[in-house]
Amino acid sequence: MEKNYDIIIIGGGLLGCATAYQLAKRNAGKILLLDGNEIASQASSRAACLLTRARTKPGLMEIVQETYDCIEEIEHLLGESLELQQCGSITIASSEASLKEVETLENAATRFGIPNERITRERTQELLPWIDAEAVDVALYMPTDAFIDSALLCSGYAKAAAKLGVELRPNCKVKEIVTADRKIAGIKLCDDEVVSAPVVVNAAGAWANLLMRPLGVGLPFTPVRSHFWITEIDKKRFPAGHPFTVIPDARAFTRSDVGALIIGLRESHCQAFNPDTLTEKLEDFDFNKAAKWTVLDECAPLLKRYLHDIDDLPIAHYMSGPSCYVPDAFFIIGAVKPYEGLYTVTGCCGGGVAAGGGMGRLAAELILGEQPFVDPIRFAPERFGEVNPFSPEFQQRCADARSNKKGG
Amino acid sequence: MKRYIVFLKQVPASTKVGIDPVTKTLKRSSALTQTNPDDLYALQAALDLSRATGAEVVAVSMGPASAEEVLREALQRGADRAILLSSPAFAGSDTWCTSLVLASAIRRIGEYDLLFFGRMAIDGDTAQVGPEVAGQLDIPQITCLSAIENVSADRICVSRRVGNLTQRMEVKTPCAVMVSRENGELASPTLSGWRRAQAQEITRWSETDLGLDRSLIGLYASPTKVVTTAVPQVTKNIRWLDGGGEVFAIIQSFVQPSC
Repeated sequence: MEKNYDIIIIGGGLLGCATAYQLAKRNAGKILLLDGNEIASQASSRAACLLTRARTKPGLMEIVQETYDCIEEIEHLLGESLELQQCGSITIASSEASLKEVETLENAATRFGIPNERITRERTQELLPWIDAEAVDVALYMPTDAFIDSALLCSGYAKAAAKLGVELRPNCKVKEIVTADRKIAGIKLCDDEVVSAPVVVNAAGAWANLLMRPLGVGLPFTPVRSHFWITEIDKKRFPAGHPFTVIPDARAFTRSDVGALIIGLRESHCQAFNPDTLTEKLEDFDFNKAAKWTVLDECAPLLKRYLHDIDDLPIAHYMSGPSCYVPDAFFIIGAVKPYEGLYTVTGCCGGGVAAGGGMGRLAAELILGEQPFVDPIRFAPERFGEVNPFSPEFQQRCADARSNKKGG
Repeated sequence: MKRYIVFLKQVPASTKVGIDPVTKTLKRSSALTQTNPDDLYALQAALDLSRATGAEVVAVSMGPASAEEVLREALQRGADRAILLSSPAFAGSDTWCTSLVLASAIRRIGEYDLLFFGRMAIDGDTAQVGPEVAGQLDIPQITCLSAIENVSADRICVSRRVGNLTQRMEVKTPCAVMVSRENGELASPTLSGWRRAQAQEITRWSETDLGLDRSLIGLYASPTKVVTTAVPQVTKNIRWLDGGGEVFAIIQSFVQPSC
């Protein structure tokens, strides 16, 4: 088995696979991507899958557009569809505060050339048969927004990377990152095999800080529980492919799912997890299953004005997963000081599906010393100074970033 | 008033469950848990029938304090009341001792028409408890139930699967039925059901409440002795074939072995 590479990427989720694809596209040399589990099998298969184009934070629209571009490129490269569902989105305002947010979003979208229009209550009702349109003051429709199966997208990045020469090693757990004189030397696997490379990219998602700790580095994020509920199928009420919604006044989003409705809700105090408690596979991790009903109980009253019968709606499934949240809700992409050759791409803040392609591109450009397509300063890993991601206080700061999130 | 009693078991949610090296029993506290899937279908069958007959549905579980979760789920899904059979004295009971405890609980509950069990639990895989309870109570039992077709004051007409055949029978009540996922579809739970369930009391009974002698129950009274456990080792002999000729020859050797 090969022992020497130019770049090793740890993590076969959306961010690791997108980075591998972007590096391979740039002929970055011999690249190895490893994951302790199957590719696309962990947090990246538990996402809500929204590809919201319009963003109010600087640089994010460019990053999301890059993901859309990647999807098109990969479909062409592989000759297969990644099943992007262009359903459109509707952002709903029912208060002065959310109206201001919608106006800001509207301006950002228009500035970036994203089609958008305010639609009437009648049109809203037509597009969203389940909603009580009387509760809607303003509805901003963006017809080119889409959703995509996150596991399929992640596999698409991985397959495209492999086609361009990246070696994929699933079910291969990394024990540690090896350094020498503050330079990256490679990695050691759990069977003590050493694989050498001058560049290592830590894209291990929720587990990333466990690999950084022996190096004395803390990445400024922690895993925070994200979750959504899926109703029983009712094709007439929740027609497949109807627009997804973002409802800031209800701290909610919704999207269609083959005749059912996916409902994402954000509790007032989000739950952070100490990375030390993570299991090797998320199916063995206790996200606190009681939250399925306690959080729905807390959040349902806010959504009830739009979805009257939420109390009696049959809930067929519940999905929880870890989103890696950063105190300022910006991603973490770039070189990790003080180690030469150590990089990270993490801290998805619930946006890994929409932003993965762009995050991978920025990581690749920084690794290869190319001109970055967005300003990398705001994503710099060291921007908070020294942090201890294992401290409850820091984890709370990260959880608050999700609690205070405005969008979907 | 008619009464249906449904038995539900808390089982590990994952197949990665540790075995206690001393007792050889499952280390239940170490794993995420769920309600045994077949038991939910038993509950659904009881709830569906009760809508037609007006029967009271009583959910019963035997296990540690955490087994209250499965009873809350039963209440959320529509059970009228719930009873948790919990005591350190019950720990380690095999199917025989478990059936003894459940039969005692049924006697304490009083009159009943039907006992609903899941066909088997996904942790033990024995499918013995329901039939053993019927034996303890000396009542008829219907395994592999496929449908309850008719209910009268003292009888039910049911069909059950027997291999590829369906057997229809009339059985005197009270009796026990064993239900599995082939029996129907589960209704999804609701938030209002959860709220209702949170407000309900769960009755707790120990061996004292059931008038059971401690020497008859638990690990040491159980006639089943687990001497050891091992994960079966499955090996596959794989040979890569080069070219269609070799593939064709192998297929031909299966189709015409004498050639």
